[in-house]
Amino acid sequence: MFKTVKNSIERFNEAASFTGQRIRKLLYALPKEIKADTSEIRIRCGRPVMLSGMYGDIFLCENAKISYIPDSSACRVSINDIEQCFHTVCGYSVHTHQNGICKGFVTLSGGHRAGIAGTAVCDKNGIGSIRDISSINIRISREYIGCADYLFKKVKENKAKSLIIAGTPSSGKTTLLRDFARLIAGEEGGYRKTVIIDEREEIAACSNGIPGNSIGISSDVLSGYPKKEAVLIAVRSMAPQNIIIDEIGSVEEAAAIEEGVNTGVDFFLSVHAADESDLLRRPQISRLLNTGAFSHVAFLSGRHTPSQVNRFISVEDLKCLN
Amino acid sequence: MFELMGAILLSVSAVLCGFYTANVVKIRCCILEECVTLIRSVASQIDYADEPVQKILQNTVKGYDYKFLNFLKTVAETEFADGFDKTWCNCIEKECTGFYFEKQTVELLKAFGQKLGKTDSSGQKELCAYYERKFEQLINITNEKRNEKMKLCRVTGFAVGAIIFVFAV
Repeated sequence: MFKTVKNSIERFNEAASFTGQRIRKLLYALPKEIKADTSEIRIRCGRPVMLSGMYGDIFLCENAKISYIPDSSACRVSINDIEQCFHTVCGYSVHTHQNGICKGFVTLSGGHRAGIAGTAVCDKNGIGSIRDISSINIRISREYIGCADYLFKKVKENKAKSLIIAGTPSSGKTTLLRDFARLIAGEEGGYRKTVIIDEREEIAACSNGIPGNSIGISSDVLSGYPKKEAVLIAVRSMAPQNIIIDEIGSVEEAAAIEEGVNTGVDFFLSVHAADESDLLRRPQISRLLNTGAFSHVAFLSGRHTPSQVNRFISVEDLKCLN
Repeated sequence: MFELMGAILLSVSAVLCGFYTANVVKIRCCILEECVTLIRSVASQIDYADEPVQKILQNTVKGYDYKFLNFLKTVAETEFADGFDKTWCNCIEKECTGFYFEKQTVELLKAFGQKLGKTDSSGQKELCAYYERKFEQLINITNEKRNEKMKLCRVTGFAVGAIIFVFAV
């Protein structure tokens, strides 16, 4: 098993502290085993509090116990609970997280992430704000030191330059990238100059400019920057050898990376994709693979064994397979 | 002789009373002016830096020496375990208890804190502008009261002085 800097129980308690008073008390009183294996706390208005993790999905009860069935003892979330949770998640400063809320998430201290759902208020420029918050999903950030050792070894062995890490949601892509950054920007990687583009502030979890997670000595973090702009800023001003980016989504982002690749910088990025065919179906990924800069793709096992590389294959083999 | 002494004492006490009242009103004005300073500081930090509430308060306390709104320091240093609005109100209730704090001022301050940080940037700017106007209205009312009391004090002093003069002559 991997070493963790902050133990899983501390991380759970840290994430639970963002819920409202009533739910927080119940979550704090849960058994250690449950706390250690929980990866998500889901709070939905009028419905029971749900916990997701390696054990599957369970429901929180009013007596601080858990149940696999949402029966009458389940802890149901009131409007007041969700309001309290929302304001806590925003650090009692909704205005500070306005952009994030419109994009559907707020990054919490410690690198945890709260997904937010409600009713969108649209204006000419798109989503202007969100009202009537109905669900909050707190994803607990974990830092597993050593979880990228295998991947790092593979990259070195295969002399891979740029790399794509593909996995389903909750498969540990961000955790793996974070540990990979620690290795490549640390002693093991020869202190390669690395820029981490941390749009959602989950990788480094910087607070007052100080990274909350281990990300290596020679890494620079662009926190909160939109990926498209950040790639260009990094290439122009930070002179990196590597750039690490989490969750590439749009074609514009891929275009910016394409431009970065042409400057000779190595990219290590993660994408949502379950398997080879799923990956190749995405136009932005096909575009990146066609640049010839990406030599390998690593597929992750899935949510039950987070951050574990299942297959490490070359792009040529990937294209042949399909 | 006794009548004259009594008249002098009456005159002195009336003047002192007048000065004291004027001083109380002056301090109340200073408190209200500090409230306006606070709101302006909050508004500018929201506008230019989008800082979270706790950081705003920490910066505000660092950047200006509040003589009367000491509760701000406590709020800035407290963890909001029970929520920011409760912490804000509790601190006001504990620390804004003196004779100089009018009920209306305290209520306005509480109401401002209860809405702080609960909306987006434009909402917060509106909130600050609204409470700034409210506090400025209070300052004007208090200043008018102060002027009235100063007038009264002057008139009473003159009247009593004139009586003393008549008695002495």
